[in-house]
Amino acid sequence: MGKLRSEFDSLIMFSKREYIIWSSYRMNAWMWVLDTFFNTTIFFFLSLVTKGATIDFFPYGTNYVTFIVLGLSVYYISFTNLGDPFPRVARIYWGGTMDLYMLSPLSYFTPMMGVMYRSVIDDYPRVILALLFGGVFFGASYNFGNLGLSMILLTLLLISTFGIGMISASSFYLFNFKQKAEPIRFIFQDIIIALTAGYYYPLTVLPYPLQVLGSFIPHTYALDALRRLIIPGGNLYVKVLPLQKVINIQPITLDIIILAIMSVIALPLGWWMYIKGIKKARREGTLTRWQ
Amino acid sequence: MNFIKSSLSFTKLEYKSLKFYPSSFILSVIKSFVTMSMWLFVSLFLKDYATEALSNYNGDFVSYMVIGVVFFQSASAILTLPFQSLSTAFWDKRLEIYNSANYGIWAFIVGRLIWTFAYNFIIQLSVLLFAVFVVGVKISANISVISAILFYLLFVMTSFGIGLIGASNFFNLEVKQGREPVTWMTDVLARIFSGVYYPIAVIPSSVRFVSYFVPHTYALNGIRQIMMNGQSLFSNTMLPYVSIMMVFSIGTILLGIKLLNNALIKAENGNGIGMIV
Amino acid sequence: MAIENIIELENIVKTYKIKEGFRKFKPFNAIDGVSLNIEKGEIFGLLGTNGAGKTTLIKIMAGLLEADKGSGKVLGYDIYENHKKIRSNVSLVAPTADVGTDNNLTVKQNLEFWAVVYNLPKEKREERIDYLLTFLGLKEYENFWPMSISAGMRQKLAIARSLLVQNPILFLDEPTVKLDAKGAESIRKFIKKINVEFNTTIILTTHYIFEAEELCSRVAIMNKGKIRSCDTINNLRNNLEKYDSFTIKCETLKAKTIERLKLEENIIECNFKNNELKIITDKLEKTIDLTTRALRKENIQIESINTTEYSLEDIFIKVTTEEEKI
Repeated sequence: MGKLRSEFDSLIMFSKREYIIWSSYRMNAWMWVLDTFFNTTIFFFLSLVTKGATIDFFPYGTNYVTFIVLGLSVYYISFTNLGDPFPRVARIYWGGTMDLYMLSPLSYFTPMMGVMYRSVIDDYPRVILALLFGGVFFGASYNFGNLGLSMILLTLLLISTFGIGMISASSFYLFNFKQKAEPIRFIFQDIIIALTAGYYYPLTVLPYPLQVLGSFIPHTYALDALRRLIIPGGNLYVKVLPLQKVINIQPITLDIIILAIMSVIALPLGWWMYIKGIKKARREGTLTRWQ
Repeated sequence: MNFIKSSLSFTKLEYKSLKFYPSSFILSVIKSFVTMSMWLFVSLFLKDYATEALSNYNGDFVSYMVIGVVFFQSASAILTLPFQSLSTAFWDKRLEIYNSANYGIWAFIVGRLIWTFAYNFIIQLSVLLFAVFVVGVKISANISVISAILFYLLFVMTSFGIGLIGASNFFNLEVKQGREPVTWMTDVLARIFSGVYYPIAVIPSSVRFVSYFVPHTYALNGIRQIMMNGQSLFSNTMLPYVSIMMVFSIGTILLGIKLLNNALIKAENGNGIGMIV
Repeated sequence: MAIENIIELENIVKTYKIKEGFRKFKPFNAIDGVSLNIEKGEIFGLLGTNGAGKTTLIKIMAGLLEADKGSGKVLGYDIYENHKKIRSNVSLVAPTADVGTDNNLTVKQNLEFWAVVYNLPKEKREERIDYLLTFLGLKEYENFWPMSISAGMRQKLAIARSLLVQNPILFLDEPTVKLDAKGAESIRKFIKKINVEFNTTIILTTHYIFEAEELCSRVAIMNKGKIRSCDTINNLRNNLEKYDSFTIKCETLKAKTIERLKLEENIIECNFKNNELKIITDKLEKTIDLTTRALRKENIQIESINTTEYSLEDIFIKVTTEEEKI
């Protein structure tokens, strides 16, 4: 109990530290809020290209701004959960603090989760802001009738993306990727997800091979389900994803099952690989930059 | 001549750094391809609805989008270069050393400019060629390559000039890392108002006037005229764009040099260029 | 009273793989069969040239690095099985002042952060931080950002951080390297103080030989991954050379006097030049006494007598140059 208490106190301290750092860059904080607004503006203006024509992206309703805003929300979550663990481990390494954290009573995970607070402060509220700006300024409309289901989907998305993020972070020590670019994050975040997650367009726009590629990332299922549930006019029954056409289960149910499977696999695997990486670094003397 | 030699030594340093991490070039190429592809798919999704809005470009939303994105990406790298260079050198504790050299930090910044320009030029050219020959992006059969390159250089110099203005804030506003307000605002305004992703005509008229103050508006329109409509640099259509871009490039560079020099002097007289050690 | 060893190492070996070209690695023996015992409450010096293996050895003792071979115990915990327990009970100051210092927090905020991470009880935090800031001369800088204080001050901040929790072992890797004389002196005083008051065992590496001479009860001199010498400074000095020398400044001496001195049993060498009589002997005190009596007998005025003893620096240079065990 005492150890748990100490871990919890440390996490609170990390969050305080990261908040102090975040708020000390006042200009950045303002830019951060405005960024979200401007990103939504770009897509709103993009929608004006259609000159008021009703865009067909069945089964996701007809409101393109809502479609985009949900895409942006998932993007912000992914940016933190999947994209951030690796640079945070790198920061601990290059700052020489890994040794100091190891000398503390903390578990291997607390410092990693602690330094991620900065991104959590940066990106999680952007989800709310994107929804807000979309609704207030750009005509997005939302159907929150299935809020409970939406929260379950969001939770599974958080867990599964964080698991992939931990796999990415583990490569820093496990595979010695000390350069800025890390392959796992690059392949997932910068290629597969960027192209096939469907942040800004439905998956049906992509050539079929890319649609199949998109079947391997949690974003595809999260966005599919969230858009059906939240965009007014969204259809809950028509199957559009490759896996939905093959497995005879209701689309949203399948989306939840796939997300759950991904969460159950990715998170423990990511944890395990991260610890293995630390242990390997301890054996090889590559835990920190201080030699 | 000595200044050029000095700058090229920094260019060589960047090249050697790339040789140590050759995979970073490949990753940069892939990333550019992916970004272009992403916007390609956006344009494919909306193309059937965008014919009317793109009438000046034969309704070709895909080509419009891809050309805009490719050239915009390239200019963005140059825009942030001066500030990023100062920030990197500062945190690596090299800034004071560079400043104490014969040409100060200018050789360092120009050296990195030469490298970044060449690096990005190769990458974006590959992306463009892929887009044209593989994806089917349409460019004019009468395209004047010289005109395209010269006009592109004007765009690069304008971005560099704005970047220098932003870099002066490294000392003036003590912004030592993260995003700098001038380049950030330029980037934001360019993305929204300069027609990177959609024609300016679709922007609500109440805010459309902002486009006229953003150099990217003229740069991208000019490049599209050259690439999609086969206009040459000295044609009547292009002359207004060329004139405006020349004013922008000369003006921003001169202003940027002046502001950054003043900021350096201010820093030298104040807390110093580098970190206190 | 039985000596209690707080650190016991036996034949420790650590090999790194050094990159040599593309996908080629060369093994490098950073530690090559080191055996060491450090007593509880000692201030133990670890000296060596750059690349001798001092930092690697410290990391192994602190539980931050796994040895490849050998056995060892720190605080009774096995270095392979219980490295986590070892790490929780040691403190360490790295040689780079900026390690672990967050430039976005003030000096005091930095310490407050680490006080929580190191699980310093809440009721003791404020008092302990205040004490360390005052003692290390950082009190007036507590609201400054680290990048606006000197490197020496940042080094003191790093030391303060490592001393937040009073662990039984403290590793100091060149703690005074960036400090001015006054700052270094205060750190040395502090080291002696915590050693005396809390019986903290301190393992110190330093390039300042005089610092090791002042602080350490024993020193180990390392070179190329091996310990060449390990003993008290006096014993090292005694073992180094059988002979000492001394010089007497006086007026002219007769050749007869010098010849008579040369015949003395314990005088190895004797010569007179520029009004200085230099004698090398294997029995310093006895020979000085004998010589001064001989000179007074001949009514020779002695102006001064200077002895030469081997310093720790002499020992260090000799050991690391000749690679001989002393």
